[in-house]
Amino acid sequence: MSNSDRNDAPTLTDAERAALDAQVAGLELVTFYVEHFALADMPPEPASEREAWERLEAMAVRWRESENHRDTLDPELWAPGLVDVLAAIEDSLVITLLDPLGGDAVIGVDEVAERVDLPGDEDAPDE
Amino acid sequence: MRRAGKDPLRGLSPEEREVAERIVQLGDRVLKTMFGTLETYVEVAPDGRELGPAERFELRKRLGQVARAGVHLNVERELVDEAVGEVDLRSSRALLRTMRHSILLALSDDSETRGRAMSAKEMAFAAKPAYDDWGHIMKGR
Repeated sequence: MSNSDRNDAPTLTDAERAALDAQVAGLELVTFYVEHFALADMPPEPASEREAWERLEAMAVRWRESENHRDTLDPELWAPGLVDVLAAIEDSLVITLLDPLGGDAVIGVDEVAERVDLPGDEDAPDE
Repeated sequence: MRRAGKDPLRGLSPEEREVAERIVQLGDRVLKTMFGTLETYVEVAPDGRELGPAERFELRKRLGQVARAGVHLNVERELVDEAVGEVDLRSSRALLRTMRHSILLALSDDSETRGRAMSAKEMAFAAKPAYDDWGHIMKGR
């Protein structure tokens, strides 16, 4: 990208930037959850557990920043369905981490795939 | 949420009764979780310090309850959106998410992250919209 191209690129507002950062972190959390928890037959490895707590904390930091700038949560800035699915994944992770045998009601892979309209996912339903 | 005496669901069709019972069950859980967690949060009053074992135990217990209520809200999400007006649980849902985030931060091993948790006063202020909505819900019953 040349300097002139870069200058022509639209500038993100603080809210747009914060929403984008939160979504990137959120999508990473979705991927991590699906790979290490939702698809796993066995209880998670200790390393995955540690990483899960760290990711939950990191996501909580993002949400706290969003709460300080409410316009970050403008639905127009978010992939459809992502906020609610992220909340469900965060709740599911907490339950699994606190009580590995009690994760009876956690969100499954199919539900994640059905509800998140990921970028480039043409078949996902709009909400 | 339920009062003794007359059946508040009297006169409803079986389908309506089933839906009403689900929203009552969900509302009960949300209300108890919200109040209990707020009580514990204000008692512990996170301020960035490293919490003691008893404080950590209490907050972790509340964190699990908040997460289970969140999963219940997720399962009943269509009901939550349809019931708006009469039994609006959206502010409670937002508060429970805020509580989860803040408890996670308060429990962190990292002092900087702990410092991002809401103070007890901030949490009480964040709870106001949900309290107001519950005031409307109770008035309507």
